[in-house]
Amino acid sequence: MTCFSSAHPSQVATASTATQELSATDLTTDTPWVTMVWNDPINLMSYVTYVFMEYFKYDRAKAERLMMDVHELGRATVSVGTREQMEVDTAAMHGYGLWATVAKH
Amino acid sequence: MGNGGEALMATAFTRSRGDMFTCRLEPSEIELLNSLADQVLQLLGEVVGASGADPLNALVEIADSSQMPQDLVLQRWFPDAYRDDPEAGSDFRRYTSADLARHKRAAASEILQGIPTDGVVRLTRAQAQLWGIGLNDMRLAIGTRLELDDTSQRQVHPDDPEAAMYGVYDWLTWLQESLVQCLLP
Repeated sequence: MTCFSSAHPSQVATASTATQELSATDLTTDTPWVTMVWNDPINLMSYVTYVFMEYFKYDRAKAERLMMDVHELGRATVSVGTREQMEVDTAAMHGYGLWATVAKH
Repeated sequence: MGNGGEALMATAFTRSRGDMFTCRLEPSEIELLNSLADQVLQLLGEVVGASGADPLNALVEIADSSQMPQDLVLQRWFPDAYRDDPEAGSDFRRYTSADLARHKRAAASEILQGIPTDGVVRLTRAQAQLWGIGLNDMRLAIGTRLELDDTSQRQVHPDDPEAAMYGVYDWLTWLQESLVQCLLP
């Protein structure tokens, strides 16, 4: 918990440069932390898609796929990286009102 | 609110050339949004130690005794970041909650300041993004009050005290959805 640059949505346009996209190589012991977003009955599906595109700079197809995972499976792993970066991402998701947590992969 | 189901007649958000985001609100809707934004600010004030009665109750005219504890809204606004590690979660909260509250205040303030008296709201993209967050915070608060869940069936009798709150929630949903559709590329 040494790297808190609490991220606000309006200030995190460059967050994606530090947030690794999900890929097979991410899922190694080098980057064992993830940000998870959990389903909730209030956040709009369109809004969740928008947040994933806006903050993570994911394309629409990827953002919608993650949103549908949240909606249908109850949760989705939206970023993978160092613990510090996952805490930044989680704080940013909270800034948007999404229910996000940090977890060890 | 006590408007007895008075029709709300806003026009939804549209995006115009020059990347401006525009909607038009009726006087009753201006009053509602200003009131909600003000109450969000009041509730956020409690994060930093202020006290007082549950402000959202006043809006929907529901007795305190029938309400969930107000901290459930704050719990939803400030969720645990670690599901199985209370100590890490406590640390996270300690380091982030002040900033998170500040950012939520900024979003609510943007709404308070963004509605001219003629009701014609014109927002830049940056302002519209803050509105999206601010409207979402209002829906999170009211949805939490209503104990919404994915399985709940809406069968609210018009005489039910919560009917007005459902009405506000649905109107906010409609307004936010129109804004998000404009923000999506």
